[in-house]
Amino acid sequence: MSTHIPSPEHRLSKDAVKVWLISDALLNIIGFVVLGILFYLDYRYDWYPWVYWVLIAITILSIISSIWSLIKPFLLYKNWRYGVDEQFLQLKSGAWKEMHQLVPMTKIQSVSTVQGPLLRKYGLCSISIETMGSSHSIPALPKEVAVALRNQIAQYAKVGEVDRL
Amino acid sequence: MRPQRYHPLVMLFELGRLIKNSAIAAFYLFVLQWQSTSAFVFYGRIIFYFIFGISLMAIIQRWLTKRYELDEHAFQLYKGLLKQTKQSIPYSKVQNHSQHTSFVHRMLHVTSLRFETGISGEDAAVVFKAITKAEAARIIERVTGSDEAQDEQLNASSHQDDAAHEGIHAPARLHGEQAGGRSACNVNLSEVLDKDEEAAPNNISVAQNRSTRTIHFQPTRKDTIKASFTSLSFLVLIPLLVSFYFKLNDMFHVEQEAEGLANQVLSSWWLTIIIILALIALSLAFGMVRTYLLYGKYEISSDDSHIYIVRGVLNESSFSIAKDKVQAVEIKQPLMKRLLGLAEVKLTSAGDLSLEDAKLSSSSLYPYLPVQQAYAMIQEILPAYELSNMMQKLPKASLWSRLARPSWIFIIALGALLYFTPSWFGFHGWWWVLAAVLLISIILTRILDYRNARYVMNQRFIQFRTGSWSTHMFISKREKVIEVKVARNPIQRWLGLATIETTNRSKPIYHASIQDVPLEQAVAFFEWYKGRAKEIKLTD
Repeated sequence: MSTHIPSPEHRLSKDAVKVWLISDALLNIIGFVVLGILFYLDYRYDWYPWVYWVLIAITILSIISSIWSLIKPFLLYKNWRYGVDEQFLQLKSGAWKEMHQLVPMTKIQSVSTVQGPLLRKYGLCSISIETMGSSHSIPALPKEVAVALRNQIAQYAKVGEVDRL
Repeated sequence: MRPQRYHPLVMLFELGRLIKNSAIAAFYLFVLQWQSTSAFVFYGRIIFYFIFGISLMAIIQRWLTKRYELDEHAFQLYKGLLKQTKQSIPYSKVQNHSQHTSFVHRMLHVTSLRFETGISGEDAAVVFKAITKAEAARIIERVTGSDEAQDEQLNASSHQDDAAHEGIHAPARLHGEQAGGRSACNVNLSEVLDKDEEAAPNNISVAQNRSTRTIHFQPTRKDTIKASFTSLSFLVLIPLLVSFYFKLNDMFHVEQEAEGLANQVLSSWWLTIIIILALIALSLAFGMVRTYLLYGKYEISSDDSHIYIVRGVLNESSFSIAKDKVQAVEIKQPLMKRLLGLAEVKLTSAGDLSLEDAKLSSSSLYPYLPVQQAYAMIQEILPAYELSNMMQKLPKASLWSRLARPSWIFIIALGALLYFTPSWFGFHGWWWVLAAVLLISIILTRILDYRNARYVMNQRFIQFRTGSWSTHMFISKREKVIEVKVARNPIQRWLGLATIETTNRSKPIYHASIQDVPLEQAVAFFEWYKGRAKEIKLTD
């Protein structure tokens, strides 16, 4: 018996790391600006003393999470794998908690490509897949690959199943 | 057939619901504040009249504009006056249907009917709030009949496989006999058909079904008594009495007036004992009557294609699901039922299962079945399901993995205890006593969880058993599982374990998982699921 779940072979685009780093940095900057404004208002209007401590706590958490957001994209990229064949879509992700998912093509209801402004700048696309019970997404693939994959999944997912006793 | 209006009594039931929903607001505005002259109450009443009036008109308007039609394959639903919508729901999408006849329905000689589909969103069900019994029967025949005809076409080959499969089981023989009875019935019907040309072909198959229905379970008096004790329904009277007393007290100040009486009663011990005994007898009787009303008249039956559950004495409900639409079977045993050797069997359906009385989900076969009978019944009703008694235990390492998991409840509780440090009866060390008790109970629960966990995958089925104090068994067919997942956290990676999870259609979506199986079993689980490709039958 094998003690290894075969990983699917395809990886995300390498530019994904850049995109995530930039988008996280932008979010962090916005977050810190908001925090700064709140600190100023607190100082200016002399809010309740507990507000100050809450703000301090939020700042500490934000600093931790912004440090984490410098590491996270690399781990995400390193561990993400996906694979498609005629019958199944297989996904693998997670550095800390490793996750393998297997979705039959016949259960896929819809598949679409999504592109935000940052992804567009790097010519990337993410794919979102809806099944009867859940939704999955493959983030940051090169656009041609994403479109081809979307069409391929749509092709495979065309067939349905018959309920049996 | 032309589209027709719903039964006019639908308006009455909608009115009833409107009154029920607005009762609290009305009570506040017109009873509690009846003397008030404040502007808030004044305008509140105006708004109330306004909304009530609009709702009334909406009820009438809805009835006037909504129509339905049953064609060969689908419900055609029409609604709207200015913005007209037409919805078409194919019968094949119906996951289950239920019929509910409340006391009021019965007095008016109508019933209510509901077809659940697996569609997400608001219009997921076709609902007839009031409908004549004859029309209800006609619709059910139309829906289930055609569903079957379609299945027979599509699954002609697969049925043969299943039949070969079922040959092993005793119930299959029963089916054989029924099949004999059915063909006899067929002859009669075809004679009738010759005379009456108008009878739709669908009706035959349903008539056949009627004759082949087997009753699997009807509770005896003993079952009902057992159920009333297991459900602890005799305790229900106590809070009712207490709240009744307080309400009475508010209105009539019973306490002061009855004080003299109470003193007298309490002073004579025998009177006290008699009253207590009377109260106990009363609550036992109350519990039994309540259980009888809910579960007294219960009937589980099935035919070749459908499962039927009928229950209720005053409010009668029936529930029916096609066997091929059963997504999974669950056997639940809360602690109390485990001690008494009882179990609840639930069928999972992709459609919504909650009836109007949400307390009793109708998909549950009788909730107080003796365990052995429960297992036997699953085999009888769903011969395509194979229950395995040879389930695998988890390895020792799983226990360590379970114990090593951080318990958020404990961490939060410990934090709260340290912060508040409760001191009762002059003792300040309660925090560590409580923390120790909590820790021990968490560890005990995890050990039980480890000991109860079982799993097995065979050819076409998967079976999980989980739970610590109460247990929960899950059985599904490979083709009904819509997704699988294997997850491993660092501890599990270190110990060579994994968590496996299945997803099934249901509302809401149903996840079943078992933690800490050996890695090779998780790999086998993935392979097992990949094997489904061989057995599913694809549409063209």
